[in-house]
Amino acid sequence: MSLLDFILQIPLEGVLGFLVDLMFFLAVYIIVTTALNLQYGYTGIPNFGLAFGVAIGAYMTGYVPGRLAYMLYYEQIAEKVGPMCPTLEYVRCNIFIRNEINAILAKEPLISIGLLVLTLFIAVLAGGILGYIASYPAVRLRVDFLMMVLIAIAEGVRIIGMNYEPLAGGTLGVSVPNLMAWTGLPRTVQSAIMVLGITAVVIYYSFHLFRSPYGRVLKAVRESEDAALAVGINVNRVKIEAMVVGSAIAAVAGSIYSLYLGNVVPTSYTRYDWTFWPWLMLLLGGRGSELGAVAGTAGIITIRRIISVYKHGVQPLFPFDVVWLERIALGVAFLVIMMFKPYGLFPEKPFRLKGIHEKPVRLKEAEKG
Amino acid sequence: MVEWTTVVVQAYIYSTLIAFLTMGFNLTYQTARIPNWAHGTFAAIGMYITLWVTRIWEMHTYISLPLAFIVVALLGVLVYGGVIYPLKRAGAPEILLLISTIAVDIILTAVINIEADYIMFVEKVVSRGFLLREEDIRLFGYPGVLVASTILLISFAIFFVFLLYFTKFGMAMRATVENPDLAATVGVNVDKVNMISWFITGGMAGISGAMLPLWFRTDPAVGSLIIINVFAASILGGVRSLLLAIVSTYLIGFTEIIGTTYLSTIIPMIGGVSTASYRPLIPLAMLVIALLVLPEGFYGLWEKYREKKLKGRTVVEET
Repeated sequence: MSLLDFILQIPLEGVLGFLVDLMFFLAVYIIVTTALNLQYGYTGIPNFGLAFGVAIGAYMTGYVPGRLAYMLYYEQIAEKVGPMCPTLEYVRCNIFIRNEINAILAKEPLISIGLLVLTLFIAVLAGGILGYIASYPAVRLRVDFLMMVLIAIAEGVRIIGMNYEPLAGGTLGVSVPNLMAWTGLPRTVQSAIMVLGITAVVIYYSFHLFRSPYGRVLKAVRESEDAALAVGINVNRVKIEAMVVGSAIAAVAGSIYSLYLGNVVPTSYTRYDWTFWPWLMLLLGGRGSELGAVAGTAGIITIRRIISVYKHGVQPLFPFDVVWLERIALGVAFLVIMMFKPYGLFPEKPFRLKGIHEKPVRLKEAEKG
Repeated sequence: MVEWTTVVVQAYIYSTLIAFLTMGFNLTYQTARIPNWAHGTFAAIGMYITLWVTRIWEMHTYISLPLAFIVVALLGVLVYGGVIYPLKRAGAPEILLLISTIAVDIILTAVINIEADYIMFVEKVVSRGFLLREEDIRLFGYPGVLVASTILLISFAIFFVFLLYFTKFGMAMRATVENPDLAATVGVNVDKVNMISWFITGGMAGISGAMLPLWFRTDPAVGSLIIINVFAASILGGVRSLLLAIVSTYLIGFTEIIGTTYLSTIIPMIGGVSTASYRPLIPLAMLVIALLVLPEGFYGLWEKYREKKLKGRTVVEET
């Protein structure tokens, strides 16, 4: 069998589906690693509680748009859902209510867009507030204590989300209405437009931030707090801002992740998926380097998605769940990177500024003259 | 109605077993200068050794205690010698050392889960959420684990006091804690001190984990839950003290279990689930509060008190 035959045998839809899926995960994780790059790569705050920003963004997406739409069209929905689910509680009758909301919102483009913008705004706001709370220890504690506290905060957010049903449906989760149904396009295209659009905005904003004078302020704080203080930078304020902005960006990732999947399952916001994997991506790429963060994310996400496709084929060979082999690979990859490539594959380039790092040509000419 | 005797016994055994971990955690924290994130997972390995000995080899449960000590102690040496020592030699910054213990934890957690799956699928023995309380013996009319853990904890505490304050090796250890570089200059083999402390503390974690399934329902995730208690107790007691760490472990363990039970009697449900589901939040909250209110822990308070008492007298500083 030639290679061409082999390629032709792969069903086209499967490949397309895989690529769409890959694009989506790439977009979400690039946002998350960018948030981490801002906090750890640029400002030097080791945020091991990255997952809490993502989780709060997702919880808010589970909480806000569905309930608002339910309140707006309460009578219309209650009439139809009532016979199937008499309690009419949002979380308990979630599936029925979501179906009704989707049917209504498909005809209401303005309200859909309004809900989408409002949801993202509230997710960003909640992420920022949580980031502000987490910045309280971040400006006060040593690195080792800070790591414990941030992991503790992330675990706490996850435990509350997993148990407190009104927030995001507890262990079963809650579904999110489709806010892009009005376009009338196929589901994958809708999500692709939404996810890629939001990602482009976030990436543009953060890369702009990194290259601005403010990005250099962040690096100054990372390199030496004392020196930064000496030239008049308010170090604590910079750290607080990095925590707030980074958590808000992570919340956007959580929000689009749940908007795309159409549901929020609090048990999935674990520290493995949303803290440790992004950390590995950033360390692999190189901290403080935009190219590194994107390249590290792209590499690891591609490998992980391919593994997730072929996982089921390999499963019968092992007397245990193959998920754990991936975990071992995660841990080993951390150790290997730290031992052999501590600055990542694409290390941060020293910063050069026109007029300061250029060769002083004019001076020499002046001397001659 | 709540049977308060049962609750108190549960809190007591829970705290006693975690006290082993807190002591070990503090010791390695002091000598190697990094918090060992994998310490809770060391205990989880002990749990599965007990399951293996009891259910698969069908031997006496308490054989697992020395076995767990040896296995996990060697694992501790392996982790220090294979991961932390090379990184330190390469001059890795503190943050990478912290990540390295997390990486070790990720690997060990995966290994435990693989073992649990293997026991489940191949040996056909329940390996998640198992409880071996009926395998326990009774000593002096009390449950064996209660007596054994108390005796072992006291003997380890005495052993540490003896080791640290009455032997030459203990002096080397304390010197390493104070200043590793200076200790190395005056001829202390810092690496040997570290190896031995990782050996002992790993073994203690193994013993603690080996006794855990004798009273509590356990699964592979237990390690990552109790490490939060260990952190909280370690910081509340002050990372520099082993004995105050035991006191604060009891404080946190009792607050967690008795507090949850008491809260459940007043408010049975929060947000659609029983209040007891929120139990892990208590040590988390205590950790955050301890760090923000009392970052030096009880040990810091005690030092302040001692300084106050010594004020006005001529103090000859040990140099």
